[in-house]
Amino acid sequence: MKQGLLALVLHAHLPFVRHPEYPDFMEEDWLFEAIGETYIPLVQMMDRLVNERVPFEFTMSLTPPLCEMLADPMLMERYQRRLARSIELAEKEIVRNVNAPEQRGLAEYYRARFVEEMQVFEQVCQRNLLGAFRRFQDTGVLEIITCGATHGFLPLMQNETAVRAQIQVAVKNYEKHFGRGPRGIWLPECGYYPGVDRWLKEAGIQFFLVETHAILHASTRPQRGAFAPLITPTGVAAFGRDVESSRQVWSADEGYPGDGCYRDFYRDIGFDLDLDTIGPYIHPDGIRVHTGIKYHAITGKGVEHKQYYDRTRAVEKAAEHAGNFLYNRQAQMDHLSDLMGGRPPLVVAPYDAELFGHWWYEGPQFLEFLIRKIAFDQEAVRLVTPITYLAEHPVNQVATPALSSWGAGGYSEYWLEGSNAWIYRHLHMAADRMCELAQRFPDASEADGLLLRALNQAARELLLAQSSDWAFIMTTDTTVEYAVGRTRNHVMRFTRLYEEILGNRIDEAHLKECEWLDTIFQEIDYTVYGHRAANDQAMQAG
Amino acid sequence: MQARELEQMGLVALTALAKELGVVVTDQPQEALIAEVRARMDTAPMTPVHDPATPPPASLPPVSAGNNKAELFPLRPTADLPQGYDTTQVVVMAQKPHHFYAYWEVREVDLQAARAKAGDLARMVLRIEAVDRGDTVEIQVHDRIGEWFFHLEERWDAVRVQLGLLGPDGSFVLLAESATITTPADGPSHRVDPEWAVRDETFASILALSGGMPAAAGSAQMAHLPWQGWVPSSPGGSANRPV
Repeated sequence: MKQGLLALVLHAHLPFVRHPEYPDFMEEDWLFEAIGETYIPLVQMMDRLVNERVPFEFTMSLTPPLCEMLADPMLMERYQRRLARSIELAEKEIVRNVNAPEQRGLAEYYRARFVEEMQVFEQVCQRNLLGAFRRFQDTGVLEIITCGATHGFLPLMQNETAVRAQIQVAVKNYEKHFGRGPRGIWLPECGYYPGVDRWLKEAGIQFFLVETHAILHASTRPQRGAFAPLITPTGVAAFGRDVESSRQVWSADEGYPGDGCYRDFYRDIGFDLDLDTIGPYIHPDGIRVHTGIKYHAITGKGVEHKQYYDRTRAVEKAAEHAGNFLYNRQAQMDHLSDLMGGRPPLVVAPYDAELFGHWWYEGPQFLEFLIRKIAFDQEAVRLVTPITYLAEHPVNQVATPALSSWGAGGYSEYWLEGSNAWIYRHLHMAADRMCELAQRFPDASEADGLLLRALNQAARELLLAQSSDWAFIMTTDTTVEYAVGRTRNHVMRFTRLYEEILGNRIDEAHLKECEWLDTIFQEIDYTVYGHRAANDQAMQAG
Repeated sequence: MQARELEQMGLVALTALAKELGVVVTDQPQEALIAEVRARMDTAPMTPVHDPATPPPASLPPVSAGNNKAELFPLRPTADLPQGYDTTQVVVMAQKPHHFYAYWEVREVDLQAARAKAGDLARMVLRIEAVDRGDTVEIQVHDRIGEWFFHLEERWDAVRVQLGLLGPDGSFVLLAESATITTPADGPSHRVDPEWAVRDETFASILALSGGMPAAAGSAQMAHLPWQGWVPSSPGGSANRPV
């Protein structure tokens, strides 16, 4: 029987959002929602599969900012408090809906779900979600890969030392959290440019993911298209995304998450209930937020009167969609096999991890059904990780992938357009200045006290300013001011530190404030910006 | 600008200015071209007028020379960030295979020194150069600190941008030069590795099964399609989340 290989890759990322200066900060909810709706369900899914000895393996990126937040005691405490409030709200909803059976039933479902979430967080994981993921990696079912240190979009960085620093800082952070070096990397936004792979090779990374046309437009024609990796001249493997399997999940016309049975993301009681009722459970300033309690199904396009969410029916639909997804992969691989010259076709299916659970509430169930069906219902498709593939097929075509990203249009325009282009003047200057600092102070040590702290904090501020999330959010209609403010604040903090360091007048109070606000990468070593070989190389790609 | 100054510009610069002002340049005599340019200059401001209180439009009419089209965006207010860094530089970045973005800054002292060499009639321009074949096009710019998006109809493999003063006689005084960038490929390579040869029809099938050409939509793009239940209304995060 012809067999094909399927590499599922989930990209788990959130920008570093941590505001100790506020008791309750709305944008921290991004993390809390993702923990409850995506990360914990994925942990539970893997737990069940491992316990039941279901054979599987897949890849997941856990980006350094996400790892740092998941390991942060203050954020975990805030998450626990928020979850406790969610349980309290669900209990009130059970009482409030005593005469509304559908809503009452759903409120009971949510209470049970939140209680279970608390139990997994507190007792199973001991508030250490990274530890749970690490356990699955150690078991051999999960390949955790890293990402750029702060998800900086590398093709627009212009400064090779700054690019290298994004890789080096990420690798050190991965070692801190997972006890060994990463074998793969999710290039931020799949942003690849020819030459960046030399920094991956230097860091011991064996593979990365790219958009389809990075492979199709490579320096020489790829013999097997995007259905086999290319090896860059520096010896790192590039795996290209499969469009068809992506479209089935993402597409407006064909995508599963738009099915009417599934839970409607936007109809949340945080927006639906009157302020007297919901007031204590939304933002203290009265800004309505998602509570996680949603009573309605998508129902249909443009339908105003949404049906109540039927959890059983939605889970059945997820199983149906998993079967459909698998059927399509079998057909795809059967068709591809004749073109692959005897090698099994590889379909690489990368997705945002937060799609599964947070945006598509039934996504984790879909994944679990898919994994079980692949394991037990057929033999035509086998799950692999890129590492497994390379072990089984060590000889691959050597070529240089094309500059690309997985953003709209496939290049850099999402992160470089009218709303966000202004940031690059400042980011580039800050990166150049950080290199200047590292060269002028090549060996600051603990004995130098404030100087070492200021240099390391300057590096943190630069890295935080470079996060691609800010540029992306500027292109949207939501929280733009926050993204602008974050960029501005980090550049300004960096610039002040830079000027004070050069002027030998470091303001300890300001430095302390920066250290208190921007705690990411406590292990950072600013001398990563003093790498001369990188400094001497001109950027070859835009 | 007076007719005499326009006459002194030289045909190349005059043609560029005419196109920049939206004058259709055919084979009209120089006098006729000057008259059209003067008429256009009397009615059109040299730079698009933009009310800083309103967001810039997505694009503005082409105002550049030759095959280039450029969209001008005013600098976005950046609160306490400086407008510039007291440096003289120009940086170019590729947005996609035919689209670029450049930002620049010129120290006042450098500008004055260059102006002394080039003369008062010289105009500040971005000279976009195809490094591998020497072709150039120029776009007039006005601000000492500025930024442009520009579009090249034809893909150039390697692009470099010079910022300088272009005199009426075609002389060019360089202020700053960018690094050379390699533009992204916009299609499959014609090169075949003999060890990994593939027949044309097989490769065509693989391309079709891979999503075909041109470059497939990214996840971020797919996520922004008007999908039932996925209308933006909540805080966003990573680029590929349906924000």
